[in-house]
Amino acid sequence: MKGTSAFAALALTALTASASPRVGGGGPEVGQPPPEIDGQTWLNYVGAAPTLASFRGQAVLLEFWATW
Amino acid sequence: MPCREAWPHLKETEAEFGPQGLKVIALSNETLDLVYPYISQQELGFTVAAGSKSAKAYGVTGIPHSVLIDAEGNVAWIGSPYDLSKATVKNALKGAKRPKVAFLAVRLPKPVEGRAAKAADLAGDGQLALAEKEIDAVLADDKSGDEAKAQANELREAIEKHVKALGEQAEKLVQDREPEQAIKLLEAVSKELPSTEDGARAKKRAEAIAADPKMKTEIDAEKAFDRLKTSIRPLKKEKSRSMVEEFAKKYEGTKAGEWAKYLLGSKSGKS
Repeated sequence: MKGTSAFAALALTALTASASPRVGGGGPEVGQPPPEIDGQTWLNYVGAAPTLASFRGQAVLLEFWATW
Repeated sequence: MPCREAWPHLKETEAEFGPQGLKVIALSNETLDLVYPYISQQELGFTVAAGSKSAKAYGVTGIPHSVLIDAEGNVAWIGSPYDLSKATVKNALKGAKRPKVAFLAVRLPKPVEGRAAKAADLAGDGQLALAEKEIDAVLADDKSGDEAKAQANELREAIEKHVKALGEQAEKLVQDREPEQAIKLLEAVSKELPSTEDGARAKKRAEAIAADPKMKTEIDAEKAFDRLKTSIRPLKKEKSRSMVEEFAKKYEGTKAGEWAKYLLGSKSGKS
């Protein structure tokens, strides 16, 4: 029973994920330099607030998320 | 709950590609009192920003939403984290440097080419001692042009300024009652520049912070808090809540005590 509901949740997630528009409202496009990142508080990071330049020479994966 | 479902995939991605130079940063527009309990529960190791306003600049209209930036600094891919393939990440990592201690890295505003390029590369990698050595070599080399020498001097100044700024950051962390982070910063500086005055000063300061009774209390509280977080993970909500409450009371006045309040969902711990 538990397995079924987990599967259903996963399937639903996949549906909503593919259905929701991913890009819009003037964000950067592939091939362009990205806008600077910003945060009020940084966790799991030592030092002053990082900028993208802090990771120059590395690839960076930005993940926009929420707790809900 | 699409966001929650994405974490295992992101954790795997970071575990596999982090050592090759991928940095994962999770940005939430929510405040710390929401974000902190959540990420401490999930045992997320990657860097997280709370209260981020970046979503607008990135044109994010639905979450989860991922943006991959390649090693050259351009957007390589935009999409849902579920759709991010290993091949895409590998492609973005082309030419990427393995991560060093990011906060030690020093870069000049303009790219450096010619005789001083190697010194600039080393400094950009956070290898400050080797960069200093290379700067000496550039300055001593008769064949170095005026421009290369000027760049070498500029780089030396930038390193000095950066090390000074790190010292100031460490003091700010002490003021914020984050002695462990302050010590980490200072130890990295002293380890990187052991034979310099700056390095010796950083080492001394780190030792002084560790020996300060007030800071020691903070460090002990933080360690106890880490243990608490591990021990409550398998427990039922009510039981873990009473343990966190007890901790917050016992360690009241310390930073860890305030974090415990965040864990309880109380905003009163906000500093």
